[in-house]
Amino acid sequence: MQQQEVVQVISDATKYRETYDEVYDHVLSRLAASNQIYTLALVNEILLNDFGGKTEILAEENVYAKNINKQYFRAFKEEILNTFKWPTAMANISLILFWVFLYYSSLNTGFNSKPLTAAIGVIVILMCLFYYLKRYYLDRKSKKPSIKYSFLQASTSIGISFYVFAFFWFISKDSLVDIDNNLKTIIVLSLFCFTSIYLRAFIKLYGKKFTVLTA
Amino acid sequence: MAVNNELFKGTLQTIILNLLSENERMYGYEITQKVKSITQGELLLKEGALYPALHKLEAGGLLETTTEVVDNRVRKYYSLSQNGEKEVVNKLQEAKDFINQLQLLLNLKASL
Repeated sequence: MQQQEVVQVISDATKYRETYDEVYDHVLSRLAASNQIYTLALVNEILLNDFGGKTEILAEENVYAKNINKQYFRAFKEEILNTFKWPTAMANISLILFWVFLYYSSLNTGFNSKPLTAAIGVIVILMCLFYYLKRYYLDRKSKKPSIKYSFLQASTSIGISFYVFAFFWFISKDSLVDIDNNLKTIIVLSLFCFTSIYLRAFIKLYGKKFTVLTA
Repeated sequence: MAVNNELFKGTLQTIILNLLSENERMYGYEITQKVKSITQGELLLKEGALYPALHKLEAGGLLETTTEVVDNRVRKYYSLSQNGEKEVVNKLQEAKDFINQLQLLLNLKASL
């Protein structure tokens, strides 16, 4: 009963799981060390004295979330740049060679961009689905969302947004901008290269840093 | 006589980094208690200042975090990252230099 009360009070004062866990652990540690008899007023007093109250906790949470997001995007950018460093740059060099080979071989025979366009679409959709699967299925038992979901949502949405934009503006049959087939080939091949870099950087970031930051 | 908390605000990050370099990993409440015990209650580290500082160091990549379930609740432990280990040396040197300068300044003033 007492624990439920504490859970309720802290739940009302926090937005993200990480802050909730931290404040909850702190309050219970303080209550355990305190000589005073448990009352709800005591819990509120701890929150007010130690954290400055609900408003302060929420304000600090927002600052924390912004900083963590910045840090994730910085790390994501680093991972993208890392794909151009040796020896991982080999993959990019192979991609460029593949790009050049496909482009020049398509000059005479024409280029069927459909399989490549479909492959890019599948990749960016799967990335988006990964976010929804993690957020709403794997993590469905969590009372509060994790602070890292805003980054995960933003970073997986970038790919699909860019793809939709490029598809409807340049690639599709009824594209908004009328471009010749040669330029269309260049756009599809370039999009494929960017998607590959974006996906590899995302996987690296997720594997390396996602569990370290805001555990 | 209790130390004025305002005086050590600028060194809060150094204190945290140093504590974490001496203890492999610590959680928020543990840090406040450690400071209290080392300074024999003269210096009280307010949580309202501690957690923002911890989060800032974490977002800055100087701290790493792990979680563990203790007594049916999730406890978040902070430890130094590789960058944090390098930074603690710089921060300690900065603090030492500052203390030396402060001593020099205050001694000079006192002798005037």
